[in-house]
Amino acid sequence: MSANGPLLRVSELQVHFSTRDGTLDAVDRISFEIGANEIFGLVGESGSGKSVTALSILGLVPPPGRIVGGDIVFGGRNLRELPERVLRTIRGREVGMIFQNPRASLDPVRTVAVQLARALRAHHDIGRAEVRRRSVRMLRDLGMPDPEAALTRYPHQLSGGMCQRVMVAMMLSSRPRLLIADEPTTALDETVGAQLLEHLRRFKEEQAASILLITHDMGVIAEMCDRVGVMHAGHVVEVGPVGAVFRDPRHPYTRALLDSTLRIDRDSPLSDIERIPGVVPNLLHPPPGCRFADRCAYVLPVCRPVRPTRREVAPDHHVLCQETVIREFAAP
Amino acid sequence: MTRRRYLARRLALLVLVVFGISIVAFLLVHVLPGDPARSRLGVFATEELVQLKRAEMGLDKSLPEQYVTYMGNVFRGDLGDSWRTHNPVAEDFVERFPATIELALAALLIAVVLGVSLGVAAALRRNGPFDHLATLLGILGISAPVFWIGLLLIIAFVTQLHVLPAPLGRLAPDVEVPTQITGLYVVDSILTANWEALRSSLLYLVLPAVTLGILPLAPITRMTRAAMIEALESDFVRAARALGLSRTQVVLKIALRNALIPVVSMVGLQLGYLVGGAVLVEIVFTWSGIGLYLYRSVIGLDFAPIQSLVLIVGVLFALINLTVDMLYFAIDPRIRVA
Repeated sequence: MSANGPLLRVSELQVHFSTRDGTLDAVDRISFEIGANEIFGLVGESGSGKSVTALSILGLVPPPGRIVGGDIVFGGRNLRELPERVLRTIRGREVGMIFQNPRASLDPVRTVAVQLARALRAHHDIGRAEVRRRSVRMLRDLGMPDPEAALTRYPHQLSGGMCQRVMVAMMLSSRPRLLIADEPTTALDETVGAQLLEHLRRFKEEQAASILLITHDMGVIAEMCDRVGVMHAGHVVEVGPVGAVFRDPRHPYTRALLDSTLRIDRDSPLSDIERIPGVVPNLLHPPPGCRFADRCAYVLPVCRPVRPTRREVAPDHHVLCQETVIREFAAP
Repeated sequence: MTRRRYLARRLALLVLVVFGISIVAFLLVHVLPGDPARSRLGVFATEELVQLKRAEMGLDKSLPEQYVTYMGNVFRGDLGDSWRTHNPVAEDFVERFPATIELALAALLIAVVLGVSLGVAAALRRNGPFDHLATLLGILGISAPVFWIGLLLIIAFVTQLHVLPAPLGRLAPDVEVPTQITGLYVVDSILTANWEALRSSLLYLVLPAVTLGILPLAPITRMTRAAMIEALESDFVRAARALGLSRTQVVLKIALRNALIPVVSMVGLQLGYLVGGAVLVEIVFTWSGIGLYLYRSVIGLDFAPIQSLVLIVGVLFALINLTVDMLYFAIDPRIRVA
């Protein structure tokens, strides 16, 4: 992390969804920081609150969701206190976001050229010829075959990988300082996904930007990220440098996630995969204590009634767990 | 399939549909109660005279023969004569058709502008005041008969408030009819810079157009609202907002543009229903279009106009549907018919 403070600091962020059956506690007082020129990974199962966290940063949590508490400080400004008008000038220009489903994220009735022009003109007054020149260059940089022809195409005429390239081009067009990538490779095949990750890494290096990379793939985290936050049921249960977290996971959930990944990597028969038992708890009525308690192999009587506190187990390495568990866990 | 092949197939289908409509129109005279020959000669005519008249009208021939004769006449532009007006039906029709077109277009314009705006406003603030207004208008449009709404409007704006002229025709009696170019008084007055006629024709048009417009207003509003909600919740709108595009641009240029696709087909269908609604509205407002003409022909058992109108309106309906389908190609690039 850079010396003069993080680029993004999320603290005690709390997001609720009001549903017919009550309030859904999607993100519960989570905190993490993203340094300048750093790739921060956010990993966890589906429904753990990763995407909602990302959308909170842009102020785009869809109704009936609502940020009910906490701060999101980006470049020294608390985004939660900014009016929509100002937030709009930050979206796309300073914080970009690429989404999981690239084809659905493009306007189905407009050509690629029109959509790239929209992105380029969103924050800058650029002439027609310049828009075209930049569009072609951006697509070419992203490895789009025949970028000139691609400009005249509609999203339904492009492959998923090409759609993703168009979206990345749109989101990088203003060279944001922070790029949020929400499962950017999920909809792509292996090689195209690898190319995209490579491009994101290059973007980070060349623009000295930061990336918030959301994934459920521990392999991608290991390969790409400097630091990582592990989410489970609306909590960030462990956050720290990738090396430390992978070498010395302190939260039972992180350990379980790593185990399930590492065993596949070792080419062992599928029966050996250690499945994490149980399911993510119902967030409509979350248990008062630790939300992982029911699935945890190290659960103690204290875990169920008492909410765990965030503890620093090593420099810049925090864990949301009972101290006794952490200690037992760390013992070799 | 390409656009051209699709068009070719649709045109072939259209020929079949028109053939079907012509059969129905032709048989109508033979199904309707009453003998056309007798109805022309009156109840006191002798049986021999009626038989002579039947032979003169070709009614003694076989049905297929009569059909061929009928269609031959139709293709020559001879739709028969109206015995009520003593004019060829084609002439009567050409004279009255522009009035109905003017009424239907004005009604559609009102319904589309109001319906789309209301639908968008309702979608933007669900359960807000506009959403409730949309629901109310929807219930009104479905449950209240057109002629009743027309009468209420006449009572309110003519009898009580005295702001609009009495529902008698398309122009004030002391205003000269604008030089005919399109036959639509409003358009002709503008084209000939005849401001007096424009003012008068607008005053006479507004109530019947609003009355008729209420009919398609409800479905257009409902369709716009639903399509707009779907578009606003779509991934591409979320992505557009993440790009930092202005709210106006996101709502109007992206969400509305996508939401309009289903609305267009809905509007096309409504245009067909408008013709049906126009009959009632023209009666209430003595608007001398084909609706009123049809009504008077039915009352007077004037068969030729009825038959011709069934044919013309049927073909018109088929053509409108074809146009709407073609319009799809223009507004939705994804359409490639399998």
